[in-house]
Amino acid sequence: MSKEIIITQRLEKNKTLILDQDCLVFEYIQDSVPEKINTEIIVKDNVKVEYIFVLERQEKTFIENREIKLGLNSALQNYYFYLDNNANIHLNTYIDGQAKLQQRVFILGDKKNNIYLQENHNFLYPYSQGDFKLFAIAKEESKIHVDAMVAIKKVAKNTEVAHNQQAWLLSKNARVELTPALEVIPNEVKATHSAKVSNLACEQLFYLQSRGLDKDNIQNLLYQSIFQLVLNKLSNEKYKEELVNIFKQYYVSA
Amino acid sequence: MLLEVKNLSVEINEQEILHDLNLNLEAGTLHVVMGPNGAGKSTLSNVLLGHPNFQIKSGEIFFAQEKINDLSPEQRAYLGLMSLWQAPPEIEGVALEQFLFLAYKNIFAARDKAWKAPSVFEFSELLKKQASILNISPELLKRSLNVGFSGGEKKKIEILQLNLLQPKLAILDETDSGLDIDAMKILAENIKNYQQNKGTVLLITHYPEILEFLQPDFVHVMVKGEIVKSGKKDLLTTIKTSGFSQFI
Amino acid sequence: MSEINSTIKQAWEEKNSAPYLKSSRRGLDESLVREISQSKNEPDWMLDLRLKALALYQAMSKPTWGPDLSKLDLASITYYAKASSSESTWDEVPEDIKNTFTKLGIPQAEQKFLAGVGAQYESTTIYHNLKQQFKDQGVIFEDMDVAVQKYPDLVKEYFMKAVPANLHKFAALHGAVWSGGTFLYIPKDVKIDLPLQAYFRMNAKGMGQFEHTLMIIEDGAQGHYIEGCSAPRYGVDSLHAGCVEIYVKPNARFRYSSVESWSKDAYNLNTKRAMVEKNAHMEWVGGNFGSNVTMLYPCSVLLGEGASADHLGLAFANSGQVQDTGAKVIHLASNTSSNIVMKSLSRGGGQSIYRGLLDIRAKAENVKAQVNCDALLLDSDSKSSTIPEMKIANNTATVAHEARCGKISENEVFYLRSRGLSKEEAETMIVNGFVDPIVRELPLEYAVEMNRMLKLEMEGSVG
Repeated sequence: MSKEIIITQRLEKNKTLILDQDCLVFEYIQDSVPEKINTEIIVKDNVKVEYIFVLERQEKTFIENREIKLGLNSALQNYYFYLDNNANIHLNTYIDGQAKLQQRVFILGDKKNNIYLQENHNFLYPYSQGDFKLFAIAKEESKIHVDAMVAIKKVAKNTEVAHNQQAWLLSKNARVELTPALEVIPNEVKATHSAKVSNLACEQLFYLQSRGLDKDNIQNLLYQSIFQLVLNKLSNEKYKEELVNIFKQYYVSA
Repeated sequence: MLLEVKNLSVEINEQEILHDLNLNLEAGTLHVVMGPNGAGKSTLSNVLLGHPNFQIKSGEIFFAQEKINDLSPEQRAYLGLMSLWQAPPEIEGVALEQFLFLAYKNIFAARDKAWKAPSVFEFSELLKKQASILNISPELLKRSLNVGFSGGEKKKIEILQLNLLQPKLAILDETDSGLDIDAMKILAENIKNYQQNKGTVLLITHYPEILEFLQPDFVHVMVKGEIVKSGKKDLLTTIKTSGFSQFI
Repeated sequence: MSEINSTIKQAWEEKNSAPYLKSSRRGLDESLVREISQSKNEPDWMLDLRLKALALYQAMSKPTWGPDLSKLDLASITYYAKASSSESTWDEVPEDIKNTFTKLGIPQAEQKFLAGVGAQYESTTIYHNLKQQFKDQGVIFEDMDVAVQKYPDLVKEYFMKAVPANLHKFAALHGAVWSGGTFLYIPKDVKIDLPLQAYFRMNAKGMGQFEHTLMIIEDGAQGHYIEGCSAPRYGVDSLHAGCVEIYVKPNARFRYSSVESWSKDAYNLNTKRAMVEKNAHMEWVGGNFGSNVTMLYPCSVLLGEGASADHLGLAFANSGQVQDTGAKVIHLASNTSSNIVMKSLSRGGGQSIYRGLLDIRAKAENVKAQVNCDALLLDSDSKSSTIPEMKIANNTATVAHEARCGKISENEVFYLRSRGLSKEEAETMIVNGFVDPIVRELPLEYAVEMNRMLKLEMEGSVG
């Protein structure tokens, strides 16, 4: 049983988390956070971490700078949930040791939310693996802008990276901007990336409606399916359930 | 002796997969190598073909009396060694017909210096004929190698190459896996024809459903990187009834 | 070496003497712009355009996006040189210039294959020819300078409207000193089957080239234009800031193919844009080789409902080169679609960058867009970057983007070798297969030339 670290508040502007043993971190922030927060997470050699971060309903726009450093033979499963916020987020990862990074980012944009996410993942060591997935749902008049860069530096031979972004625009005035960028120097790598923008087009809507589902059912169904995709590699059932419950609040109520 | 494998030990990433393996194949025979998963069967076929990722730690491989340990894959093809792949790769933009023409020319020219290559047109006709025997649509020949081909079509293209390139030894590495009964019959039929035309077959497989249609001359059981038992057809019955556990 | 195999490369290395250069000077100011306009006998409105563009050029700074242009010294470039007066028949063309074109295979090709050819030597057009049948149909295929005189209303209506001078510094520069180029007008419902082509050549030391290509394809018309470029090697920076404007009217179809192979010290900073109207279709097919720095993002603006665009591109970044290329598609109207296929190769420290923009505006309903970028790194010294920007403002859009980057597949090489191909044969076959989707869209001789250029660039990179 790995250690569990539960965090429910973020009051301090700067924070450093040094993880030197296998653990699961569950950070669920509902209260206001400072306007600008800097977080540093260091995963030590040979450590396996599952890191779940949920930030919701921040009224004021906040700026977050997050830096993650991975050590030799470490493994990090990152889950970021940004639910109904105005935010400016900078995520920088440095993989400086043969390591495995799996990242899932889920952004729900609602009302007039404006979310900007900038990601920078740097592979600095050979034989590492990266599996990045982004899921963005933009509702109402929200705007989600993601600039993600995965860079495989010269020394990082035999790195394997898959970088995927998926967005759903659920209303006329929603906007999304995606840039899944890839920079590769060594040629002994496997790097792929993809981006997809989908929607609930007329025909699909009509089909589901003709099977007895109303608009609200359909939206919830979509939410459910997307959320499953986000969580499908999370092994911890307890937290999986907790996350599903947190997200259920955003479903359209019957 | 067409193929002689003597005390072969092979490693990959510093892990030894084949230990002191011995295997001899006389020309014109059909040998079957069977074994549980992880026995090292595909390592064996890869090493015979000269895959660069595998290191021969010790031992020798002789093909038609020539030591081939250090020969490149194409050099082994010239000598008449060919394998029908289980999962042939899809190569975008490489036209199937073009690739086959080059392979054909290289291999036959290597076998006989006096050989004259056919014209593009002549080869195209030859290929069409061979393809129709296997019920391969001519349209497939114009497409990129294996791209978008069904599993069955890919296997047929491998058989087409067997018939076209006429190797001395055909290694079938789990080629029969995933085939329906009709496809298996076609494969068996072509192997029989190949054998009748002085071919030698090394069939490496997990479970030989195909042997309902073929008659092996020798059967070998491979476990954990070595041949632990060799025998004739009757060995198959033993395996069928009691599995591989008796050999471990 | 096998440079000898390529006739065009050989012709490149021809260093024809350039006696006319004495009359030109370096750097750019108002008097030079006036001189250019005057020597062409241009109407006032064109001079006016030039001066306005000059003012913008002087006010703007070099673009910050794209490749590094810090080493480009704009003050040391020669912006205009006139070789000899415009000729009308092949016989009157000066001998050494004729030789160059013979070496480039143009007259022979023209006879057999093409409808007409225009060629540019330095900054004025020497030779222009158009087959009689097209002339009768009302097709205009003319030197840009001549078009300004002969068809002022047409030119005025379209000139620098797709690429306005205020777009960026090099568009402004272009507007000020543009010279020569091709004007193509295809009237309503006229369909031209054979590809039209022009072959550029930058010869003199430190020459800049600013040709303007303006093409108007009227309703229901069809055409195909091929542009090829070359420049011999020189130590001083050569700058190419050309401009291509294409108007594809409703129900028209047009393809613009270019195989650009600039000398290794040139800066190739082009602006190419197509305005595509209702149910019209635009195709860009391009191969980019050579050049020190290339900045090239053909842009399709889908203005009318049902408009569509295809972008097929190949970039090869060899030692010391930066190929910063890509595609831009702007969907302004509904039911439009676009498809981008980009392939890049890098070796010897070359840098290949794909920069794409897919912009779907709010009013554009039911847009379908697809992007496929693949990069092949032929060794461990080179670099490949893919930066695809997707801006989606309409929720009925379907967008898919995919990219892959890596080296030649070991498994594929092994398979081909196990069938008797040598390592070199296998790798070459795979690389050719990689670029095939683009090469197969080019007319035969360009495909052959492209393959030859590829082979040359690949020398020493396989095995």
